[in-house]
Formats: sequence, C-alpha cells, structure tokens
Amino acid sequence: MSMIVTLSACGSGAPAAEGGTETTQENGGTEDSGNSDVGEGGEITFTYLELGDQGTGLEDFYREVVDDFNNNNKGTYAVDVEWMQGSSPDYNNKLRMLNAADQLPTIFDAGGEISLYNTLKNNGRLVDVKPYIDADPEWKARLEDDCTEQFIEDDGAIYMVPEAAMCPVGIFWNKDLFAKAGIESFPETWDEFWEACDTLQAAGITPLALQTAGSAWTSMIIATSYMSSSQEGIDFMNLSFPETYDTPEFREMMEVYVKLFQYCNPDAIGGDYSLAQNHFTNEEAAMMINGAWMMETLRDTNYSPEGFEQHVGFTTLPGKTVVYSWNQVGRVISASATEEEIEAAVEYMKTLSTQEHVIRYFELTGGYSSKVELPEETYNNLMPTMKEYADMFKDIDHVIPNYQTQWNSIILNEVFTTDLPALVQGSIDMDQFIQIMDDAVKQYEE
Amino acid sequence: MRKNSTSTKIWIILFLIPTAAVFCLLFAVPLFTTVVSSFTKWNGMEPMKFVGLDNYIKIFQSKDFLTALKNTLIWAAAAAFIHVPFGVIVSLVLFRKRKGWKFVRSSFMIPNMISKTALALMFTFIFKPDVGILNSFLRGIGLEKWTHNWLQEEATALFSITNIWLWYAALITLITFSELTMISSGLAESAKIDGATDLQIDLLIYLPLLKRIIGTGVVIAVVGVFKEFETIFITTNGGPGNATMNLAMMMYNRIMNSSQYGYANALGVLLLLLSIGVLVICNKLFAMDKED
Repeated sequence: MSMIVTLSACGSGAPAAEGGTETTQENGGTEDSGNSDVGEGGEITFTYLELGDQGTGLEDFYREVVDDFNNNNKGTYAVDVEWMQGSSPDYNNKLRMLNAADQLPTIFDAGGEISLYNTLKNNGRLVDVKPYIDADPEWKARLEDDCTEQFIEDDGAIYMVPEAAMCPVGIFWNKDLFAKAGIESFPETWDEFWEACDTLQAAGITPLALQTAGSAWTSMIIATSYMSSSQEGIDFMNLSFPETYDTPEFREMMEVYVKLFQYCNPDAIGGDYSLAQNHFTNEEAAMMINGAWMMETLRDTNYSPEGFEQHVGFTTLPGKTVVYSWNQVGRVISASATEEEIEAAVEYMKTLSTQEHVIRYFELTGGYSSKVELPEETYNNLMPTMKEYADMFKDIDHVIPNYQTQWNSIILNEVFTTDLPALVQGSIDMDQFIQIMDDAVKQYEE
Repeated sequence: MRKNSTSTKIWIILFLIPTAAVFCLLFAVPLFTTVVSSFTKWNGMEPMKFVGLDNYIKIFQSKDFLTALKNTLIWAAAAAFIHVPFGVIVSLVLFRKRKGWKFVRSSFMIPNMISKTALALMFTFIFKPDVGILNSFLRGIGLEKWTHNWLQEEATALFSITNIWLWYAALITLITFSELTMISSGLAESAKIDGATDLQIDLLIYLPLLKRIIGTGVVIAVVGVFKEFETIFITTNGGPGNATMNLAMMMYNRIMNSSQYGYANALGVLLLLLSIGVLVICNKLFAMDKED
C-alpha cells in the first residue's frame, strides 16, 4: 500500500512552537556547526540561526539538510549554522537582540512569534522572496498552495516561506496508564475527556502533563482546542491579534483552562515545558499534548524508559481537533544580506522542500505534505505511535490555529507566565485576568 | 621646575586618555543615549520620536510600576537592614578567631562563588512543590499544612525569592572583616582591661569605627538588589501576577515583548536615580564623604 497524504485543508506549521523547540537545557547557549571549512575557496557563505532541539527529531533533520546543502553546493554556497540551545522564547529573544544590533543572520525562523515577524516585516528588515518563488515553478509547486496564498502580504510580497509539510499538534497518551485505570480507548468528546481524567485520578494516576511557564504551551493548546466546540470559538481563534478577550467564548475557554489544573502534577503551576515532558516520559502523567516531533523523545532512553514508545498512542484532541498554523514555522531572509547571500539562502530554502527532505521530515518530525507520496516502506517502518499519527490525518474534524501565531508577545511571554499561575490558584478572578489580557493588547498597540 | 610640572601634566593626560575613551564609549555614550531615548517613542528600529515626558507619565500611572517599585524598595530595605547587618555580625564573630573560623569563613564564601543563575536554579528545586527539599522536610516533620508552591503562590513568592540572596552576605563580611583587621588591637585590649564585655567592645568600639565600611556595604547591597534580574527571571519571571516584579524585570519585558525602548529606558533612568539617591543618603548617614 502506498500512502498518499491528502490533507489540503490542513495547514502546516512545524515545530517552532514551544513544545517542539523547548529542550531541557535551561540556558540559551549556542553551539557552532563545526563546519570550519565553510566559506573557504570562494564559496558564498551565509549565516543561519537554528534551534538545537535536543531530544526531538528536528535538529537531526535540519543537520541532515545543512549537510546535504553544503555537500551538494561545494564551491558555490555554504551555510554556516549556529545551533542555539534553549527554548523557542530564548530563540526569539536572541533574534530581537541581534536585530537591535543590526546583526541578524542571513536566514532564520521568524514563525515562532508573529509579533516579532510583524515588527521585522514592518520595519523593512526582511527580503521579499516572492520573485524567487515565481521564478522557480518547481519550487513553487512543492509548497502548499494554501500556505503560499496565506503568506502574501498586503504589499504583494512574501517574506516568510513555511515548511513544505505540516506538523499538527495532537495528544500523546500512555495506553498502559489508561489500561490501569480501566479505560480502553482515548476519549473523543469533552465529556468523555473529563470523565477519563476523573477515572485516571481515582486510580491514583495524574492525568495531564501541563505547564504555565514560557507561553504555557502544554496547557494552552488543550484549552484553545476546546474552541472547536462552537463556531464562535473557531471564529475567535481565527482572529489575528484580537482587540478584546472579553468574549463569552474566551471566558468559557479559560474556565476549561483552570479546570485542567485539577488534573496535573502540583509543579505544573510555574513549571516549564521540559518539566511537563519529564512527567509524561517518566510515566508520571498519562497525557501530554505536542506535535509528532516529540516521537524521537519517546524512544530516546535519555528521556524515556526503554520501550516506552511501544505503549504510547497519538490522537486528536477531543472533538477530533488538532492545532496548528502554517506560520508557526517560517524561514525569512534578512534584508541586510547581500544579493549573493540572498540567492544562497533561497537555494537553502529550496533544499528544505525537496521530495527527499520532505520524506525525511516526516520520518523525523512528522511533517506531512499533501504533495509528496509517502513510500509504503517508509510507512511500514514507522514506530507504532508514528503510524497512529499518520492515520490520524484521515479523521480530523477541526483545525484550530496555534494561539502563538494569533496573540501578541506581551500576552504570550508576560501575561501567561505571570498571570496564569495567579488565575489558576485563584489570586485573581476571571474578570481580572481578562482585564489584564485586554491591557496587554493596549500596551502592545502602543 | 615648571618644565617638570608641565611634563607631568602631559603624562597624566596621556595616561588618562585610554581610560577616558573607554569610559565614554562604554558608559557615558550609552548613558546619554538612555537618557535621551527615555523622552522618545522608539522601537529600536525606526527613528526616535520625541514624546517629552510621556514615558515617565505612563510609568507613574502604571500599577505594574508601583508594584515593581514597592518590591524593589522592599528588597532594598531587606538588603540594608538584614543582609548587611548579618554580614557584619558574621565578620565580628569571625574576628574573634575561635576554633574553626577559617573553615566557617571559607564555607560562608562558597555560595557567593556560585553564579546567580546556578543558585536560582538550585533554589527552584529546593522550592518545588512536590519533590522540593523544603516541602519534603516539612512533610517529614509532620507539617504538611505548611507546604506551599513557594515560588508560585502570591503569598510566598516574594518571601521565597528574597531568601535566595538574603543570607549570602559574604562580600559584606569580607570587606568588614578586612576593615576590622585595620583597627588597632590596642583599643579592644584597653577596653577589656577596663572590664568591657565582647558585646560592649563590638557595639561601642568596633561598630562606630566600621561606620563608613558599613555604609559602603549598604550601597553595594542596595544597588545590587536594584539591578537584580537573573534570580527573578529564572525563578518566577516576576509572577505570579506581579508578586515578584521589579524594575529590572519590567525593563526587560518592555524591550523583549513590545520593543518599547523609550519606555524601558525611562525605567532605566528612574533606576539610576534611585541608585544615586541611595548613594547620597548613605554618604550622609554614614559620613562616608568625611575625612578621618
């Protein structure tokens, strides 16, 4: 059987999102690529900042692409990568600092935080790559139509090129822990979900691995997926940078958010992504949301017990919902690059979307393209959880945009980190929280 | 003679030029930029737009600022009235040179050799609600109801963060101890012959003589907590709510999350004015500007 991925309605977004990029490393250190020979012999060398995402397949994938690019373009182009260790917010902060010093790398990922992308775009810091896309029909054909259309700005330019494949966020669940609690399958509706949480808890099992630190990735994704329960909720999530959060749908969603914290480890309040991941991979929590890029972590014995991946399932969130946005990952080129560097960086962008790399992207991170046929052998060799992930695509009813691409950076990095713990613990009530959200909107607009 | 004097002046100027250049480049110019940009709306990319006192007005109208200022002042008070006195007391105890004093002195220094980042991370684990040492200890002695999510509950967060640095006063101990060694031992010996107790010698002889170095200690400690950033950033990010927010953290947030460089620099100017205020007050209180 050859499996053809057909999900044109679903967008992409690979794992720049917090879950995919946060690692257990706390510092924001960087590591050189070690390509000491790059740039020599008249090659055009350009700089590239990428997140070293230890424990997931992302870094492995990007390293392969970089090696292939450097080998295939020896003597012409060379990419000099700085692998930054840290989380997605660390990465964005580093970009802010480099931008302030006018030292942006030639190519980088600006999809992790749309506020930053907008700032760079509005201040003429990014290169319009549309002429390059239009000039190469083959490359254009490899990119998803939806995404290229979405990425055309009001001025007709395209500044950000997304991955050629998508990585929706669903939920990992520990089948053994569910079985211990007497639950045979993953709940499909929200009522069943809460019932399962109660049953797990009654059996002495912590249902959810959550966090509030960073941009609250593991908890906020579940809550925002609840928005698929109503058309009003879906409409709200489709709003880019809402003017107010004082809406019935958002209130209801936040009630769900608070309720989630009845079912997690106590250190989830104030905890970060790595903590949530540790709870899940150490079987201290039965469920955790994330994208397929976490698959490698399940069989990496540095993170998980031997054979852990054999009893972990992957499925949609309740309501057959997944979360992703095309623009959660997107490479951009700095306007301060020379014409030669821009051309070299465009070539690198093209390399990312070749058929060979799209298939590898799927194998290592779960990136799914509607334009590339997945070989049967590749499918058969997938680990069981990855097969479940691949099969999940046939059964998705709702796609909710990733909140990280819809809400401003003050909300994501400040309000969530400091005020979600206060809300969950009852130090502030829902009205106060929503007022804080609206104040953050005003402050951002200033 | 006159020729010699002129030549000396030239040499002095020549030797001062590198220092003055570095000072201007690394301190005076950024300081000037900070002050100027504090009166502008500036996102770090577009040209600065002069807005007069707008940033300062917004800052003083902001509830976040008042909370951050309150927290900053609480820490300043804790530094001046607990951290520094504790360091001085330890130095007075060590100065008696009882058995094992060198070991105590070295042990007391160790936390100061650990980076603030590592220390903050260490305390993050100590304060963890489920497996943290503090809660485990409290559970172990039957005080389960005293356990908290220390860094994430509004009632305990500020207190917990304060304890991360409050008791590590080795720098104060060192400078005070060094000052103590300069005091003539004859003074204490005479007092002893006259029947003074150790406590009386400390209170009536040593402390008055240590007045200026204690003033220096207060300046170092208070200005240090004004600038405190790493500990808060790593442990609570200023939360929950604004419970542990201070001015330095607020500055960082304004730059990183909304690129409001003008606003952030206005906060920086206020922080600088606060530090200068502390310096002036300490100068007066501890007579630091007076000759012996």
